[in-house]
Amino acid sequence: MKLKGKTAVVTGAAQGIGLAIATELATQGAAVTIADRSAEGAERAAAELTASGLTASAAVADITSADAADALVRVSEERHGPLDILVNNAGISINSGIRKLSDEDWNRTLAVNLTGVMNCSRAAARVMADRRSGRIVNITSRAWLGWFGQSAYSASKGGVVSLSRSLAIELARFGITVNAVAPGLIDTPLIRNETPEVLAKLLAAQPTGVIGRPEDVAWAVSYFAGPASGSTTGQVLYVCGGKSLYTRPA
Amino acid sequence: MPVVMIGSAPTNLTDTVLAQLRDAGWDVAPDESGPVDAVVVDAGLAEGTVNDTAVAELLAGARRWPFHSGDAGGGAIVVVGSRDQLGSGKRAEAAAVAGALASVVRSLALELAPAQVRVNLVAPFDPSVEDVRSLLPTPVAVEDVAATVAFLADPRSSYITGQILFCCGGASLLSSLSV
Repeated sequence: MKLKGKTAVVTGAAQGIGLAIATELATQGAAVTIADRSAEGAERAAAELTASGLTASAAVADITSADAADALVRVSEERHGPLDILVNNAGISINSGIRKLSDEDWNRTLAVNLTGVMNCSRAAARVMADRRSGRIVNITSRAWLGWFGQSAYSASKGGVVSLSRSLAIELARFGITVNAVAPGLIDTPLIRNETPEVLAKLLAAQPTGVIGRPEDVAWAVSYFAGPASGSTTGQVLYVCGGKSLYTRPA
Repeated sequence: MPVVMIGSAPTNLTDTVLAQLRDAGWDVAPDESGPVDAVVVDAGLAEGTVNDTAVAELLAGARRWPFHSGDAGGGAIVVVGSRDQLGSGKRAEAAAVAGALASVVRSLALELAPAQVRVNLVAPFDPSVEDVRSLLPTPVAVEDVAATVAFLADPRSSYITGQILFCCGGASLLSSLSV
């Protein structure tokens, strides 16, 4: 129970990796606010956790709005007490070659994946700095290294990397650590919809021949959220089965 | 789960790593003769030692250590190197070893991936040795370095390999090689 007595906000936590993160933090003892744009999804996830005896509540938030991000932190503090941990997980992925990329897709990707992270981090930093402690963990992606058809997604996730490093430098003196987790191929509904051919190609590019699970990402997040990472800030940890070690363009 | 600790000499860091591994439920083996789930190697750099055989020892050991084989096989190697891998104006010799260790860790991670053996590195620094300082209000704690080793050794870190975690309170962030 390394996070006993701590409070956390996890964005995009109604399903997938976000839900796994919320579950892990709650299992380690934290009181978790499950934030999502879907009220129904957030409430279902929170109900699932509380039914297992964990402490969780749901909050609807469109993080592309600064006001919504401020309100999210406020609601979490009203319900669970001072905010200790923020996990910026919410994100979208729109693949498109640059020649066909629409302004709308570019703007939407940047708004959710980068501006959303800044909105929530700024809201959290304001309350954490006063208390001289806090943990911010941002979910980026190994795709920030670049990939075909992912100019918008990789640019947004690269933005998350440099945002994390700047926040780490700026907030260190307040005792706030800021780190990023960069998942590689993870078993989510997105992957399960791929054709067998595409799936085989993806697997062949995995050094360990294994596809990761949302729980693998959640475990790494819990390290950065907990006491073990007290001297670690500004880091990007790849949870990718070693795929980030080499590049083999398709 | 048996784990072996290999260090240049017993130090405050190796003692703390061992204590934390025991707390986490690891059974610390006296030597590397039996099957192991993890091997922790402290190259001694963070304590100010420059052991130029550390790289060769890691290369030879990684291919020899008796990890479990078969479907449920594999294991973890965690190396304690030094943030001096980024370059040092005062310790070029240590930086050379630290840099080589980082490169070897990434290579061994690829080489041993099919056998499900993971290889990762923790890069701390000792303020008494190196002229850098933590950006955080408190100095880098040996307990944090040990806890980071324990995190990477944990079977739940099974999807993490070839990675380098700087335990330096942000002191390495301005290096272009730190990302």
